[in-house]
Amino acid sequence: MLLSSTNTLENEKIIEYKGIVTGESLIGANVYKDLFSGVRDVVGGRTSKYEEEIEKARRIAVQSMEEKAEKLGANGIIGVSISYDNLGGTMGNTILVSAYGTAIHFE
Amino acid sequence: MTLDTYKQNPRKTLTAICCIILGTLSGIFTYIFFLFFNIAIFGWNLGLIFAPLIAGYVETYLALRWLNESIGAISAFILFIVTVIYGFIIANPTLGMNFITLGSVLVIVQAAVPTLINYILLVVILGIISYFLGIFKKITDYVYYSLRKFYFHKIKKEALPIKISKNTFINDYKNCIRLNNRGFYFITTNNPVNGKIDKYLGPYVGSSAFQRRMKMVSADFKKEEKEMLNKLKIAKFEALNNLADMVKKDGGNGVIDLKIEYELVDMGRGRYQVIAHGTAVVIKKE
Repeated sequence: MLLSSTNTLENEKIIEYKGIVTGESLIGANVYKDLFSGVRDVVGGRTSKYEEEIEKARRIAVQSMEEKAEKLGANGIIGVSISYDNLGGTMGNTILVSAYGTAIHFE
Repeated sequence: MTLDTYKQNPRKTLTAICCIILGTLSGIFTYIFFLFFNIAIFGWNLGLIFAPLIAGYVETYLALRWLNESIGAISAFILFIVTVIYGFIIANPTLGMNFITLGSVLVIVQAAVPTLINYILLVVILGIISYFLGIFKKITDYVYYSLRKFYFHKIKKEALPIKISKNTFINDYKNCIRLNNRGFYFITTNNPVNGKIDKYLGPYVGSSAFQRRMKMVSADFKKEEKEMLNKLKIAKFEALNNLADMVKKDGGNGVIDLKIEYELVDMGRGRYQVIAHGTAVVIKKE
């Protein structure tokens, strides 16, 4: 599955439009991780656990989007957009990772 | 030594009874001592703790000395009954029904029947708290995740595969196919794929809002997250369908430069909005 955030694919011929595909994942309010991140925020340094979680959430969102594209018979997704939105929550940091794009079939 | 052994040996039985009586008497004297000198904290007499403890200690000490075994601190339980009857019913000299009293009653009961109270405190209460906070699930999840990570990183020498809960996405697949089968172009790029823009209709916005179920205490964070994620997904498809309906109504058959946004509408009340917006167009297939 070829993913691109551009409008077209250079040197590739797009044959068919397959539809919009989306994928989302959520990083919820995990009290303990949040607490440790809070400590790190005060003392400084990288919150590696948080980075790991965000990376995992992004991979899940993209994978979910790819799976849908495959089901639609596509072999590529163009105009891909990935965004991170803070949705509040108990500890004020429920983060939604969303990915969407246009599924296509190219030669 | 069992109860039958005591029945068969009257001398041992008498010794055990003596131990209980002496333990009980020492407990009563302790209670009188604390009451006489009014040794109290916040109006709560410390004799209520020390009397059963002393009674149990004396009885056990004597039993170990004379019988070479403990007989179960029966005098502590007797003292518990005595102190509660005297303190609450007969005299009520120091106890009033307040928070401290309730706490003290718990401590007295703990001194008298420690196994039962420890069970209630450690198993029942902690069990209820941990159930609501999901601590044990978090610990087991963490152990499972660490072991899995170790296995894949150190033994198999490959990246940890992502596990996606399929039940979260059941409706998502169906909705995705349904959305793309409605004869409408949802295009995230600036140009239609294999098509030509015949007419621009302008910017259009489709939206959908929902309210998150707010809980004072959450039993399962993962379950809440799944519910939240499913609601977001449903709202997203509603927003996209609303956008398509509006564009179709005005004679369009597609949207280009489509964007989807997720927003928290009012902080703290759990209202969310999903917006799908783009430029509505009429696309002619080439």
